[in-house]
Amino acid sequence: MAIDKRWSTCEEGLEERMSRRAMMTAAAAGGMMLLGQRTSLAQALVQDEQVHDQILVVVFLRGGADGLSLVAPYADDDYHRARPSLGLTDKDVYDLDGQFGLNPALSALRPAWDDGDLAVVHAVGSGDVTHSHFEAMSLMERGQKIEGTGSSGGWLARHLLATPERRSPMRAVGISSRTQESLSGALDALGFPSLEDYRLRGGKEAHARLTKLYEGGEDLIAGAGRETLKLVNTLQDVSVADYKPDNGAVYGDKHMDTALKETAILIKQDLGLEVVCLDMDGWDTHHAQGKDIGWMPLLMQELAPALAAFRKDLGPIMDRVTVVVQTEFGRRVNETASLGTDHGSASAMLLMGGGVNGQKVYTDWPGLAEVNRSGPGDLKVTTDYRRVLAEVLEKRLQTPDTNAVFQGLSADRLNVLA
Amino acid sequence: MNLTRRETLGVLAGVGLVGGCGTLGVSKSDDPVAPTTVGDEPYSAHLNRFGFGPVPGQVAALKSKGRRKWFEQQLAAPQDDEGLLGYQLAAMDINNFPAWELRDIPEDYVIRQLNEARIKRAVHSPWQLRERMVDFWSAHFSIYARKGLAAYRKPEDERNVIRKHVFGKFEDMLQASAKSTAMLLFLDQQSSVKAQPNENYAREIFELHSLGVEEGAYTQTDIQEAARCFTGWAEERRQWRNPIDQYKNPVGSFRFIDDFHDFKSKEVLGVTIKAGGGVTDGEMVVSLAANHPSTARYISKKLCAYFLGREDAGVVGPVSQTFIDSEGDLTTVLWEIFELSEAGEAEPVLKRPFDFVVSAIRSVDGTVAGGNPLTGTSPTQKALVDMSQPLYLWPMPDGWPLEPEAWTNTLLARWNFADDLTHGKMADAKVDLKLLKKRIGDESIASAILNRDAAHSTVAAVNSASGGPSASLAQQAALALSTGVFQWR
Repeated sequence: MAIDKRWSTCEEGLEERMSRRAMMTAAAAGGMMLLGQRTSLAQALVQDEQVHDQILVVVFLRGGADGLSLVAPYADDDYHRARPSLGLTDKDVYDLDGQFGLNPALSALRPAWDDGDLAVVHAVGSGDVTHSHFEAMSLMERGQKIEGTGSSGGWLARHLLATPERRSPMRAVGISSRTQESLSGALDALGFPSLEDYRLRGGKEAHARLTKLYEGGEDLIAGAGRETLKLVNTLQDVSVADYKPDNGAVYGDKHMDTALKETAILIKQDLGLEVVCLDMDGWDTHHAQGKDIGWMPLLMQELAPALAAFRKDLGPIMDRVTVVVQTEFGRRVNETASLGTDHGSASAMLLMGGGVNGQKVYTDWPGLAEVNRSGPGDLKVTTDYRRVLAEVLEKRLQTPDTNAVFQGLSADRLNVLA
Repeated sequence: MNLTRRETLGVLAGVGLVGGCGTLGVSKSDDPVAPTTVGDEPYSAHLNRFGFGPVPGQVAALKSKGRRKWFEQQLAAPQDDEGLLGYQLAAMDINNFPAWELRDIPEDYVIRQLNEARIKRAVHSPWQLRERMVDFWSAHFSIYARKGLAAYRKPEDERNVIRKHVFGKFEDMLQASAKSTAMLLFLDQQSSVKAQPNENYAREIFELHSLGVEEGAYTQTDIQEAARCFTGWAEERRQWRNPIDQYKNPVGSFRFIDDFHDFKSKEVLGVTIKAGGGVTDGEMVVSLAANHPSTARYISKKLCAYFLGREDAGVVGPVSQTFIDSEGDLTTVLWEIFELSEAGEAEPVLKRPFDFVVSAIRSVDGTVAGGNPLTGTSPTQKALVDMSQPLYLWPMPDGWPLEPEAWTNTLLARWNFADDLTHGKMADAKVDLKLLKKRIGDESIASAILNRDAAHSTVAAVNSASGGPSASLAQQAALALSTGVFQWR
């Protein structure tokens, strides 16, 4: 979200705002001055080379992805009773630990698992009780456990706002048809539907005219216009079409392939990128969810190869990258007559990257017997999704105080990251 | 649900980013989210608020007619258009064939025609308020055309649910929507049977179409009970007819299937629906939802946000009271919104991409030819894709967002469209700037587009940035359409 709203929130103190703006611009351009502005904590972090290099990629599966299909509890008899048509057996899955198995449509992720770079968190979710996509997504993107608690704005926005000393021309990016709510309120986050569309007709002359037109002005669009022009300038020489992935990686031509390829390009551009948000739609499988054939296998066959290509392409850079795959809620345990599933509660999260304590399914498994379900027959949430995100912020993005991001969250962590 | 301005302030204050602001926390409602000059020309503002912006000369005409007279005339709009536009619309497949016959045509072709018709009407129809309402209600009853072959049912949905009722009773529209096969297929209602009711439609009619989720007027149990009421609501699929013609509904239309319906008693929103009711069970649910006070407030709030750029009690209060008093009569509700607008109780709303594209074409007196159905190319429709608003293709049932923050990443695509349009690069949207210049005489193109005189700050900024009067007409026009001010209505 390219909003220069910082300068539009009050009518007094113009002088101070101007000097602050001048300072920030100078800081972004120079870097030396930036150091001078750091807090002592940030100063300490700067000495650790990892700090600036760490990148978080959040892939949000929109619609409520069925965790029981992504990573199936194939050894659980209650699972097969609840899912006579959709249930996966030991012959279908790639066994992970004798209890859970990877869906065959996710088999492209097997190398990451075998290398210890992939972990699963299961029976994870929020305290949402509405079963509404919009409420549950919004709740999660705002980093809250239940409605009406904690602060507003996106959880990633709060991280970005809490670390304003880390300026870069492109610190946070949402590649999506609309800016993700997790970035809502982040002043230096940018958003666009596709990197390839990011060119200005009329080239540099048009850029100069628009720059003049958007000088001054303190409203939302004036700020967004200046941010847009800045990014156009940065990206005008980058070509997605001519991009050659490294290490023999091959991307397909589906949405997630493009989104992750563009993410890889941006990472390699070395723009000071820290957060990337990607979306994948279509997981609301009320109807024809499918076991081998159906909506869900198709979606997984798009997601997994794209993630695998991304990992291969980045190679050693993956040591600095953490990919988090999450969804707003899982599906009801029992399948429906339409061979689909209704909105549920807990689902699974995936974490991929060099710093992941992988090859492990992290779960406090509630079981699938009817007495163990929550709400109208859902997989019970036994792990608060914020514990996973908080650990990512602490260990990767060096958020100084995760309590400011996730208010009221307890301090225990899963240690899913090294 | 995006961050509101006030919430943003809260976030900023929480981390101490905003230094030196003495007004935090008592911030006035006129924080400069929109440029302060957006509404400073009341006739242009009116045509943007209740239509898709003025065409050249329309502001002057409105000044002599008066806004009230214009509004009154607009409320008498017929459902169909006349003249060339009416002829073009009547020739379209989507307006000639019922859903079942349309299925012989590729899905993409149908979606393109739907887009073409909406764009043409918004640009060329004199019934601007009607088209504004169609835009509002199409988002309110949003249907993703690529799910469940809903595309083929959408033309009928637009005619019989949306257009038929935009100035009528809200309950009539809601009842029509509940029996729209496009909606039923989009929200999985066709597979909801008594043994396993599918909750999707029952949930969304409460959450998105009527009560809203904020006031907590319904529970999960209400949704499950309502889903039972809607069991058996499906689509007529029987094509074979015996000589007695026993099926009264044409194939592809709404059909209630007794065998799938749960005839036992239910309780919805505190009202008992007796056993043995049949199709009236679902109709009762729709009626309960349509006439609930939470619905009056929720619909009024959305209308206020859309037309007045505000959702505070100062405007939502009177509008929802009017909604209740008139039993959801949308014409009466629109009059109340008009009165509030006249009383200065309106703020600018960011143009969504469709608003921007249509108002840009109108502002330079452009002509939309529509896409070429054979090759499928429509630069205007492609521009909407680039700006992330391809009509009929919002994937969620909640409709296109209205919050300005949701659209700040579309500026580049808007600038590019402005450049293409004014430089004659849009094969299906033609403008003749030389002719326009002849008509406006000494006035600059920027003045004509922005409906402000040469001394106005925005016009002056365009003239300065474009390089003065010697710059090409196209360049001046492109910059005028690219200004911050033009992005608001």
